[in-house]
Amino acid sequence: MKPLIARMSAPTMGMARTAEETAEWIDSRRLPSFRLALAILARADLAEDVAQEALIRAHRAIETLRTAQYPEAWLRQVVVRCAMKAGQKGSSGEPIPDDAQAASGDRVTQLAVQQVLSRLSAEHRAVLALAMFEQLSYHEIGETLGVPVGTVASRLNAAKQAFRRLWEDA
Amino acid sequence: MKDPLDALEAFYRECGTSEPPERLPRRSSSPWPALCTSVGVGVAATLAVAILTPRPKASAADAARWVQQVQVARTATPHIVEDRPWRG
Repeated sequence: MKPLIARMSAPTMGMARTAEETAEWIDSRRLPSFRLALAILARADLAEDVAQEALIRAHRAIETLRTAQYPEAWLRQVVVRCAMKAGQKGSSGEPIPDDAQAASGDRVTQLAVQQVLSRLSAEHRAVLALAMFEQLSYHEIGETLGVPVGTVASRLNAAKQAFRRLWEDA
Repeated sequence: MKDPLDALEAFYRECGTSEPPERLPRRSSSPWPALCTSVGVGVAATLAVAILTPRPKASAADAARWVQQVQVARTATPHIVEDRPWRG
């Protein structure tokens, strides 16, 4: 028998999965959902809330997911929407610890990235994370964000430019 | 100078291995749960004291006074007492 992830990733071909199988799959997506939310929000506390909310929504929509052709894409879309909503509420970036001066170079760079990301718009953060963290195609990003492929290309370009500009200003 | 997007890629690599933080249960911002708990504890304590406190036994004088009151009531309202013998 195929592993659960492979079975859930495969198209259903008209065959519904069992509720138990779907619930088990949803629970197994906690960590990937947290990591995607973290890539968008750059804040672990908010990312955990977003992952939790997304999984709750998935459990509520278990009947939809049982027959969904691409449940992974469905859940990713929910995570991204929740993360963008949480990002719009205002995330000022991870608080910088007092010992930041003494931190290693990598840690300082990571904190700087978090600060710059927190100043980007939610749309820019989402498109950067989907392209560079999830490494999705423009088509997949467009489906996740609900925008045409052309918009994905221009938004990604604008996001990279904005990131560079804010990095230099920082 | 290092390309900012290299730093961003490095950050995303970190995200790919990150674990959710271990957190204490979040404290609710609403005062109602704490308030209800306090009131509940207060009511339970009051009931416990009321139930467990030994009641004083009636003295002979109290008993005599009670018998007298019943006799007065029988005299004043014989129809009621007669109608309700179980109360006499």
